[in-house]
Amino acid sequence: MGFFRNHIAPDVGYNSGPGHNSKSLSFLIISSVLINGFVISADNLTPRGVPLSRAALYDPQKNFSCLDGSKLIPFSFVNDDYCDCKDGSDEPGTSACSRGSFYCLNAGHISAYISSSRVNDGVCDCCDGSDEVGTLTCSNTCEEMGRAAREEAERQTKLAKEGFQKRLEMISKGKSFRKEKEEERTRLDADRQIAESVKNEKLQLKEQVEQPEKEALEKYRLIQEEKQKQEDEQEKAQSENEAETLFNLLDSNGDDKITLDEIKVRQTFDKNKDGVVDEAEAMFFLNMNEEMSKEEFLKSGWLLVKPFFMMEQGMFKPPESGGGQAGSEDYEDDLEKLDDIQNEQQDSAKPDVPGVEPGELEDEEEEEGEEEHDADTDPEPVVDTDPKYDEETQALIDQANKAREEYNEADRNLRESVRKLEEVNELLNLDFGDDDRFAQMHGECYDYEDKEYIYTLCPFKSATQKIRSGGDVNLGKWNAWSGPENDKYTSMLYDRGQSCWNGPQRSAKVGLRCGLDNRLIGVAEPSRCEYQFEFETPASCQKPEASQSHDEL
Amino acid sequence: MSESTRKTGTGLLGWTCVPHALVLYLSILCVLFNSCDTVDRSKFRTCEQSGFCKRQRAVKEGYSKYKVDLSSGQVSSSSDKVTFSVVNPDGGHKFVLDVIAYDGVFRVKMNEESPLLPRYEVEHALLPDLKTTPMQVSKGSDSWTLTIGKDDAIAQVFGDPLRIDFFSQRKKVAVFNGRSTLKFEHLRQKPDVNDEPKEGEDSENQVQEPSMWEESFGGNTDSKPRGPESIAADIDFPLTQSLYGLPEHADTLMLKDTTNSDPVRLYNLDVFEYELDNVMALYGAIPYVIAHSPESTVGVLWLNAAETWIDVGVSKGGLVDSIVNLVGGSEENKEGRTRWMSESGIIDTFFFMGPTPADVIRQYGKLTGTTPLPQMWSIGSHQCRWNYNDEDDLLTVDANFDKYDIPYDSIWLDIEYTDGKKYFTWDHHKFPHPVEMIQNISSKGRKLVTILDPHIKRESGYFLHEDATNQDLYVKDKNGKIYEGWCWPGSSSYLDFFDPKVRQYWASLFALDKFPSTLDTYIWNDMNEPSVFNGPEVTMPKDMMHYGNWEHRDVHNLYGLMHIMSTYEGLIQRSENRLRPFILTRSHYVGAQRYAAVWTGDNKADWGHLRASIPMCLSLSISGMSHCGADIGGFFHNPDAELVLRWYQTAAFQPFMRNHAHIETKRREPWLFGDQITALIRSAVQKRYALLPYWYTLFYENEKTGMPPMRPLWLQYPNDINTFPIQDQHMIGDGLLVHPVTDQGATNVQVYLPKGNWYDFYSHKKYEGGTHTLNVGEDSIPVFQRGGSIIPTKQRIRRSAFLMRRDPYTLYVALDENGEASGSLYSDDNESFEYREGHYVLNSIKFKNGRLSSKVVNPNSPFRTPEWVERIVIVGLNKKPSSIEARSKSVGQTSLEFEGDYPIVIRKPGVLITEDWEIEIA
Repeated sequence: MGFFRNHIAPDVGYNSGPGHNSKSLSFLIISSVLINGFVISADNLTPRGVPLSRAALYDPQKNFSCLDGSKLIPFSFVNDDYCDCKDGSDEPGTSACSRGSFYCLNAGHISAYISSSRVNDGVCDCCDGSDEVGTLTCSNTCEEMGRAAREEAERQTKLAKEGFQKRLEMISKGKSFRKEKEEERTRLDADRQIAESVKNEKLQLKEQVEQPEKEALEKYRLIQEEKQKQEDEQEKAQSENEAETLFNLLDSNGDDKITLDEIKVRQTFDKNKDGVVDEAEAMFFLNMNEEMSKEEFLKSGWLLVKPFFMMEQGMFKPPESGGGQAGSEDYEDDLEKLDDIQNEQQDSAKPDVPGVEPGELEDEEEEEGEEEHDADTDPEPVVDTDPKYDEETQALIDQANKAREEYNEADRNLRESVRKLEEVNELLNLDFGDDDRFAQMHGECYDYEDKEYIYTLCPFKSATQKIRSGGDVNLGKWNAWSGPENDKYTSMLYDRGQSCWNGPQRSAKVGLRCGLDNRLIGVAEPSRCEYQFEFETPASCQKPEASQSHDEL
Repeated sequence: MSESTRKTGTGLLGWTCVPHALVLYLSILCVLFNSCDTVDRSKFRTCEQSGFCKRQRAVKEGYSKYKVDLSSGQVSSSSDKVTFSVVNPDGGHKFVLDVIAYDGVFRVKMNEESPLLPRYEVEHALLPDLKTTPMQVSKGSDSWTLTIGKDDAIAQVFGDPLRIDFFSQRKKVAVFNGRSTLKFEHLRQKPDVNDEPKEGEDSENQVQEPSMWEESFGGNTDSKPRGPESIAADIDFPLTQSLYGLPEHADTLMLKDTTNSDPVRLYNLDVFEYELDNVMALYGAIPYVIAHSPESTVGVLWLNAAETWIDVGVSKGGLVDSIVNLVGGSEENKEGRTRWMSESGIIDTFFFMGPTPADVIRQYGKLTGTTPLPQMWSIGSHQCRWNYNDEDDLLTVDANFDKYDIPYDSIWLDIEYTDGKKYFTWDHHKFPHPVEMIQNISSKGRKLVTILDPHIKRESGYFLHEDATNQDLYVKDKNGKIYEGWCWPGSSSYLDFFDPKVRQYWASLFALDKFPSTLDTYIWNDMNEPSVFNGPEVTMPKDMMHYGNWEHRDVHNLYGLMHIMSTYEGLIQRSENRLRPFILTRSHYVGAQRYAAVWTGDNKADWGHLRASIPMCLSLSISGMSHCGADIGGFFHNPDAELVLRWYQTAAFQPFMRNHAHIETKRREPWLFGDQITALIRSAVQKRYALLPYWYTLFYENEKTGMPPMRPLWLQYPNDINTFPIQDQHMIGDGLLVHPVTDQGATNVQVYLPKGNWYDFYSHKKYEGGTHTLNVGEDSIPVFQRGGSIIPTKQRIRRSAFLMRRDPYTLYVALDENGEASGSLYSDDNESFEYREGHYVLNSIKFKNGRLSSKVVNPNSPFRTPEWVERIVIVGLNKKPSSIEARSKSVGQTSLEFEGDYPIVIRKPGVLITEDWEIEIA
């Protein structure tokens, strides 16, 4: 980090004042000294702040024409610390014009223009200190800076050269990667065609053997239905009987109604086990009423009562937790309901849950959904719940089951092959940059660690943040190259990451620059939930300039 | 920042006691009703929910029978004070009434003659050692007449019932207890439940309400060991219903009638996402009203630091009606009424007798102090964000200001720079080289401002917490146990700045060897209401105890003042009295202007909040807090480009100019909204910097006279009733009138110009007084120069204000109908206290009879500066000059070039500001 980029010159007292004697412009020549804004060179008077190449525009023998042609002024108005020209061209050496610029020669380093607003402001901006007239306290740092700049330039050249070499390697690897994948696609496509024909064959076979099986099973189905019907009726009668018995037991005064008092006398109904069947407890069993008719009891009421009788008889065990917990279960149910609502509202209201990523959850749900759907399309294999078929039927069933299994396997094979093909297609559709120079980064992941987090970039896939103490936070999924139009491969965008509390979904931009290795070198979060990654890769190294490579030759 | 932002901060960790379901539930509500954008009113009391306010508001006119025993009247030896005995015939409780005189000011003080326990009298708000003035005392049978001066100001004290009429230049301008609603709850023993009312006891004592000895709100219980002790009195203004003041509220400049709403509340609170147009309490409290009429102006200060509510009676129809009545001159509706209710303390009121608004402001300034001249950089542009993440981030932002050529003077660090919210420490990972970092930005004349809040993290090993524990520096509860609340760091305790020992300790922490920083580091004191996330109404419980055995109830509104006083002392000590401190505070009270600038707290990125910044800062300005601003762009949420631009344009013409944003918002540095917006913001900021000499001169006058740089129009045009309700435009000094564009998509604005000539400050187009509809584009900031004024500017805009200190001036001269104008120019070293020793230069500049002349008001000043006058722009001349000549010691007699028909631009006069000069226009 470059501290002390500038330094304030000590107070200059009066020297930078209005220049009262500018009207009697003196051409007294003292070697290498600034007088009234003019640099004295051997044979030429160049106004302060003007490069030699433009000195001809400032001819002391003539009136000065503003460079935008807007005005003609006496030459004595040039660099007299008052702005006459709209374009600022009359004051190249002072701070008088807001739109002017000042030329620093910076011998030993690179010459530069600075804004007039930085002239005589007490800060040394030019390395030769020429922007601060009269102070003479700006030290000339051009030699030093020039050396540093040249060293840096050399370093850059070296980096560019080596980096570009590596870039070429990456390109060649990228190209063979693509070739490989294209070949794989051809292969997989052939596989898919075979799998498809196998599947069709197996389908035909299956259909052939399923028809006789279906006919044979039809008569068994009718028998089974009749049996089921009988069983149901029997069960119903039994229940009614049981209800009647219970009613008679409870209706102690025989008025064909059950009242609160009749419930209260039975310890069985002491839900909270406090020794007393209170009003609330009693009402619960009467559907929150004071009494219940026989009709209602037989219809629904007895179902409330039944478990308590069963418990009494030791036929039924309550859940582990005591009765007092009922409330808290309701509470947790409510929480779950809230969670459900929450999920529906997830875009705006979802809190961060470290380690759980909304996107992933969705994906899982989708996949599950698909599986269920697939299962529906497959005919249900006949399960041997009731192995009372005759031999002939059984043989038909076995034959059909076998055909179905074979079909299912063929179908799975086809799906697998389609999936693989899609995967390869997807990969081949990714934009790995011109010449596929970034392809090599696919499938790799790069880490960067700071005090609190470990960041991981898996190019063309995802960006994540791992909290040292816990789970991963998804910062975004690969979206697209996001550099400027003419240079789009300088930046990547990963978005649709985990949502921030009360905020947007996280996203990460990755800035790419030339380096000798693929390396994640920094991560910042300039705005909440918007991350900035810095990544070095040879793939971003530009071809060294022709002249330089020429030197190398 | 506001407490409720804790949702993302320490909140979820710290509030595990909040049922998870509740958090979810609230977030669902937010989604369904979009209701989380506004303040949660249920967190804050209404008058009905505040025991004393409810009791006091129930008092009817004619309730009180307090009697002054005129025969007991005693005049002090220097006649500056008269003391009476007062009795409440209902029960016979005795009180003491003092009337004290200062220059143009009456003070009326009333306390119990012998209270069971001492009652709190506000300290530190007024200047020390106030100079009183003698009164002529004339004793009548039913009243005494006390006169200041010849007969400029009179207070007539009536005995039965107690009433005081105030006359300014023989006009009755204010009445104390004219409606007999004064109610002074004297201290009493807690009654036994079974006690029978005693013989002769006052009826007040016989009323027992449950809220008198204990009060609960929002799950917090106030134990109220002293019982009921509230005070209230009515103060009416017979001449006017145009009342101003009572900051801080996000409300209209002119006070509204409160008959059908809550009274105006003054109780310093950290209010999350405050609402506009209402009288709910905010961060600051200045119990001060100015009652203004064309006939006379009077100010009233109710010096009480406890929770205070004020009922305002200005004819039922409110603002519009009151203006209509003013115009119609309807006598019966002319009177403006106020009634002041405080929870504890004594009645201590000041009547600033005017008669002009400028007089009232001067009189208020002489008692409470004025804003000391700020350092030049602090009236430049400030760049803040919660948070600049690390050194790299901060230096990149700094460098970008230069890259995009936008001047600015300071960059700010919010709470995240600290090591775990431990103030006076740095996060050494993010800020490993704080001193080098500061030196890097100060090399361009810029400053760093860091935040230091009054809550202290309770973490063993943290030196400040250890010191505070060992040296007994914390606020305690009534049982003597250190109070623990919840704030940014989590569990925190609060320094008791009322204790001189604590102030001295805090001040010592600013030493550069204690807090790694430089003299170019200045301070932001936030959360000093104080904000306590889990406290009642997000602040400290009222039964906590402060130094001197005072309850928090008594001193609440003073807490922030004590905090900034201590910081001020620290900055003074740090530079050994050399450099003027700069502090920004959120909480404030009477007198806070002596120590700090203020901003309007956690506002919001919407157009309403942009508009509100004007009346809020005007209200603060007339109440002393003149160095005022609002967060550019709005603290919460993301402003769009248009709002950011309009906010910059508005803030460029307000006293304190700072861009600030919540941690969850997008970056909003000026170059992030596209090239065009960047250019427009640059232009607005450059306009600010060009006018810095004018602002600086106005701040100098502010220190001297109390007149704030940002002024409501009526302060400058007290007789023009059209100006009374105006709050979408304002004056800067007496020379500029600004009507910023504050409506989305606006294509024109309606500007009201008082009588006289006006000149568009940028196009120089001339306007007459009256209402004008002006077309506006995105670059428009309607600014008008008053004919008759001279505005000093600097047109060489540098990277920072400090770097412009030696640059030459351009003077803008706008002539009035008589071809005259005048103005001032002040300059000094921009940063030190040397100006107090005469190291400054003040020019009085006048244009008269075709001659522009400048006189150095303090010709013997040792101050030296190379500053000179490079250009003079004149509008309003009735003919084109034929020749122009300058005369001064440095230029001799010399003829000057000039150009243009309109305006006339005089080229390079070259005269110095440290000399007298004349420019003759023929």
